[in-house]
Amino acid sequence: MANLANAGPEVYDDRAARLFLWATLLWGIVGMSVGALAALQLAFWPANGGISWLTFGRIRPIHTDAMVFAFAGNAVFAGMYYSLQRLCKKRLFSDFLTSLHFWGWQAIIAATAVTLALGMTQGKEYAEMEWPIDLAIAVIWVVMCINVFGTIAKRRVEHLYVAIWFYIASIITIAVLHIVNNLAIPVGAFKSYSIYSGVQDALVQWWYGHNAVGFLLTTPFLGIMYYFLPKAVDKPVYSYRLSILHFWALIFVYIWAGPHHLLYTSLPEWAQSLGMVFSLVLIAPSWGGMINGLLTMRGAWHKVREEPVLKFYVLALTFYGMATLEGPLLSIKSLNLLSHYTDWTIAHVHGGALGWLGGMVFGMAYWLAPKLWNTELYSKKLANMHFWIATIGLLLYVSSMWTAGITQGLMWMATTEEGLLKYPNFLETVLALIPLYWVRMIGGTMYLAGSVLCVYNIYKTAKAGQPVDIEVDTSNDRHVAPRTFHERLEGKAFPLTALALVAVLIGGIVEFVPAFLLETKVPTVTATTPYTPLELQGRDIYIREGCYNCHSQMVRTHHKEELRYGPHSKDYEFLYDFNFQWGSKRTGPDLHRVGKKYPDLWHYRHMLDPRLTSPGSIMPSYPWLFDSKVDTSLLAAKLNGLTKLGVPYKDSVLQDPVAAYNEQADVIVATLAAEGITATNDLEIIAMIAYLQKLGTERAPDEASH
Amino acid sequence: MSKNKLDVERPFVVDGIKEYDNPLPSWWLVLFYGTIAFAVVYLIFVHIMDGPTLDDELMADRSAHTELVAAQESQNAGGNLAEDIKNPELIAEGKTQYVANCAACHGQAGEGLVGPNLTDKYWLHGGSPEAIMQSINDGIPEKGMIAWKAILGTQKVKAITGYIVSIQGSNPPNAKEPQGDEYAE
Repeated sequence: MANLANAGPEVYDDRAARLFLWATLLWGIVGMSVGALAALQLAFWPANGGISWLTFGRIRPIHTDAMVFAFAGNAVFAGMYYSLQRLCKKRLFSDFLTSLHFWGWQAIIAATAVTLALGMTQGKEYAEMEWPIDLAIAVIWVVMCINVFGTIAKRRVEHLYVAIWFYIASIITIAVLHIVNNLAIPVGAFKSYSIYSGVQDALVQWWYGHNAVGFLLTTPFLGIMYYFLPKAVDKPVYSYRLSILHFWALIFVYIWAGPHHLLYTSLPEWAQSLGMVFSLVLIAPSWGGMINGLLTMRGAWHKVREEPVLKFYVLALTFYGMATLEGPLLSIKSLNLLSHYTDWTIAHVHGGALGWLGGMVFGMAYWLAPKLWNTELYSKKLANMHFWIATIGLLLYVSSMWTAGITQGLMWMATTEEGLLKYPNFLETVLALIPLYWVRMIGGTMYLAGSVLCVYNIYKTAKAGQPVDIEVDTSNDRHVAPRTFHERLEGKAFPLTALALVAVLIGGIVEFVPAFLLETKVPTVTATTPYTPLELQGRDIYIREGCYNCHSQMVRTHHKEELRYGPHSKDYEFLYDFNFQWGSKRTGPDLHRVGKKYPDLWHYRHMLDPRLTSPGSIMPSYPWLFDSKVDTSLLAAKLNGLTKLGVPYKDSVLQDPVAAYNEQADVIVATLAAEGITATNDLEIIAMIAYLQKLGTERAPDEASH
Repeated sequence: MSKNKLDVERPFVVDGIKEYDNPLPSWWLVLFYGTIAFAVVYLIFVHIMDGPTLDDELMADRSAHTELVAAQESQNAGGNLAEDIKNPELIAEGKTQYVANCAACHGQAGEGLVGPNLTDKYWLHGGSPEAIMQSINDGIPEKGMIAWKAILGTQKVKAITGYIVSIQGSNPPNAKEPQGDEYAE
């Protein structure tokens, strides 16, 4: 491996970095634009134009997935492919695999956007893509892994630099997360059911959701930081031993913290407690990265004034430090009770996404472009302007969402002297936030405008220069024989990878195994019944429309929650929820106890125009549910799929699901007819009403369940 | 790896990137070990030594609430409902509460919508002030009307009752057809 004699006139494959950089910037503009539209809809609900595929529930996942997989994902590949070759002193393993990776990944993103707009979704946050796309992601990920590990195996440098440790940990962990969370039974070309239900599904999903943030948005960018920051400031990395400690601590501890997304829910409390305490332990390892970055800049602070690259890195590290303190604090149970389901979560993720991620990506872009096209940056002035617009936009965004989150959280929890809710009408707590939603929209749009400046600047830079591929040059490398255990480990890619894999697997295994072995006990006085064919179709419409993006189905284990919604949710109520729909944000009220609360007519009118029943509501109207007929072609396949997963459907239902469907639909049609509404039993609204009326109606009183 | 010397370069240099091996900031180590210690203590306290769980907190809050409500009811007991609800201030408060909570189903002026007309002489669940108040308090769950007592409290329910009694015979436009039995005072 360390055979430098073989070094021929080899050049780096920098086409990879150029392609992925373009993809990062262009998808970034797309993803942020969709985000701005979603933000506008929250301030002004008619902004969906009455079009189903432009409605919030459909476009919010497009926005998040675009930012995670297209913006951040492509940036990781650009930064990793550029730096890996230089750290290995080796051209990328295979030009063909690089091309396949690039075009495959872009096709996946395009397919994701189109299918999500059409309502083809698994309804799992940040894992919405249906199974064919999930398979494609797995294949392309393997392609990328072969390319990365192939390059590492053929490297001309024996010891692996810290950036590569982070790359390795990231790509193997994402592979594990993606596969485990997306295991599902397909029942149609673009429809599947998760193999997990209820509490178990929630645990798996947030293990995924939390660690996708960890291993796609955090660790690979730390790798990028360890390469690009010392390069940009031209100073040595502050502390090697800090690199070691914070790397291993971060990847080991991160995995355990997933359940902090599920505090006060029906998840067993021991798992919640693990999520909370491991989140707190995560502060120091996270800050290790920030300290190592900031202290690397010692003696170079005067450069920050002129150099936009460094400005963006300072912004990134500052917001990284802030978000990694805020996250653990929000994981403390009592604070989470206030913040969860509110815009505080939105403030937190955008601090991370616009501050940390955006800072790293744009800093890298401005540093890379002149090298990739062998010229000067087109305009430093424009880049500085981008920095200030982005920073002000970011501050407007984050501060308005902090204010909104804390305001709404306090309003939900406020009670009167008589022990009653001070704001029993949920809508009141939403309408108080509308001015802040406008401020957020403006802040986000400013950030988007800054990004457009960046694209223009890079475009002009590329046009002024020529794409160049640099020759491999080992003259600025220095190596000695390994002296310590860790230095020896750094020389051996396979043991290093294996150890990292073990470190990330432990937390998941310790949390999953007991949670999966425990059998959910249904109290004898009640029975959890499967969704009838009609309710199931209604549920699939609920998932298609992305209702979970604004409504939770989880009355938390707290008295104030019970005052507002009714008895807190129990694990056995979700036995047949493949997958769970607990949600993570309440732009509208919780829906777990909505079943039988209102008459069918109320739901009919509410879905037609929410303002008929709830004056001032910001929920969009769903007129298309009133003229679309339910597609029952997959019904038999759906019931068979669920039966395989253990749902006890009766033979009579399995033999003639359509008869059972019509029988129940006719009752709702008759109820509506009695109120003067004419509807046919095959309309989507009928199935939707049936599903909503079923929600949370099978809970036993607490005396019986204790 | 000498311990106290700052800014000593390591012998490894990759692609021009150098590294120091500076000692870890002591406050960072304190933070790291401190959070680990807290984690251990918390888990032992709550999950091994039977410290307070979320369920325990919920049960305690529930009983405190039940006591509070019982105390208020004993305070409000007595008095003459039919007389109390004629108070114009109470009716005004009742109208505000009605518009916020009841109008979505019973119409802005009580003309009936999803729920029945509240201004005519016909009642499904009794038209006396006591019967109206009971319907609001306990709801009509089988028809989708929720129990409002737990949400609004006795005083507001009383105010709404007063408002509803005050709009009897007001004949609002778009009134829903009569339902139930005629009630005569």
